[in-house]
Amino acid sequence: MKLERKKSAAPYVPTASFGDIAFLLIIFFMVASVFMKEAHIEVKDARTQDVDKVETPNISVVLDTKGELWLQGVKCSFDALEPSVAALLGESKERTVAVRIDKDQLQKDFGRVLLGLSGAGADIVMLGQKEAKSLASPGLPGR
Amino acid sequence: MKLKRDNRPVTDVDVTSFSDLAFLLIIFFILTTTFTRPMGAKVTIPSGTSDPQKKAETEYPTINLSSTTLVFNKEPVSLEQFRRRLQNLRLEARKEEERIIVLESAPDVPFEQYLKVVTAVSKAGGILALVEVVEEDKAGKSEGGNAAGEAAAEKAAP
Repeated sequence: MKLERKKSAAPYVPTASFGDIAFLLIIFFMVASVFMKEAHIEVKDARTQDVDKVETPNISVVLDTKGELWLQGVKCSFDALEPSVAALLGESKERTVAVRIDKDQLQKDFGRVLLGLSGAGADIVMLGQKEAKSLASPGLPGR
Repeated sequence: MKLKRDNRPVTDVDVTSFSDLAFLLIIFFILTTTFTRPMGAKVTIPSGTSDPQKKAETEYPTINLSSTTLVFNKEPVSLEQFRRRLQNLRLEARKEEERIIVLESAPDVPFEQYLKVVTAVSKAGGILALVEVVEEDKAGKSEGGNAAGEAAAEKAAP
């Protein structure tokens, strides 16, 4: 007996929900994205082996290569730093402020930034790049 | 036979390109999003000032940092030696007021050098009291160290 071949219908993939999935993904990325506020600021990061991954704080302070101070991506004077940060922190429990300072800036400049943040009651997180462990650390000679 | 022209406006909105737009937006967000977390160290610097003339009752461990040298408790050390000494102090097991370390830093110290010292102290569980060495103190001793430590102790005390 000759069996008759069953004619199968062309496979159908329903694509009606693709748009919904795509928009859900967009919403996820929009919520999860943190847009870089300091992309336009030029900073050479300092390197040390004692840094680890940290949560991204909501408030950021940057002292760039030219010695200019930036608060939340906007230029700020040294004198205005403490009251501005205090106002941003308000009564919030989360008091962490990220500080990114150019590696060549001198203590006479960045010291004012640290004291200003300390005066505003901020918990300071100093940002830098991870340096591979080495026996001889350049820049800090011993005897 | 005369055919009747259909004058009704088309009410359907063509949505076939919506998913294409959506996927293009997704690609944009995927490319611009960074999931990496920044590298850093939390540094405890209590705020407050203290009278430099005030004589301190407690001697705090002191770091003297210049652009060329690192001195810990009056002894020049390398960064590795400094880290080992901090570990030996076992600061994490101590009370808050006993974890204070005074950092006297010269104005010409670059940030990278400063960060190495500060993060080493922070990792060891120390609380920093910052002292700026003013120009006239450069040749002699700095007076502010223990006073700043007192200020930090006042702040750190529960």
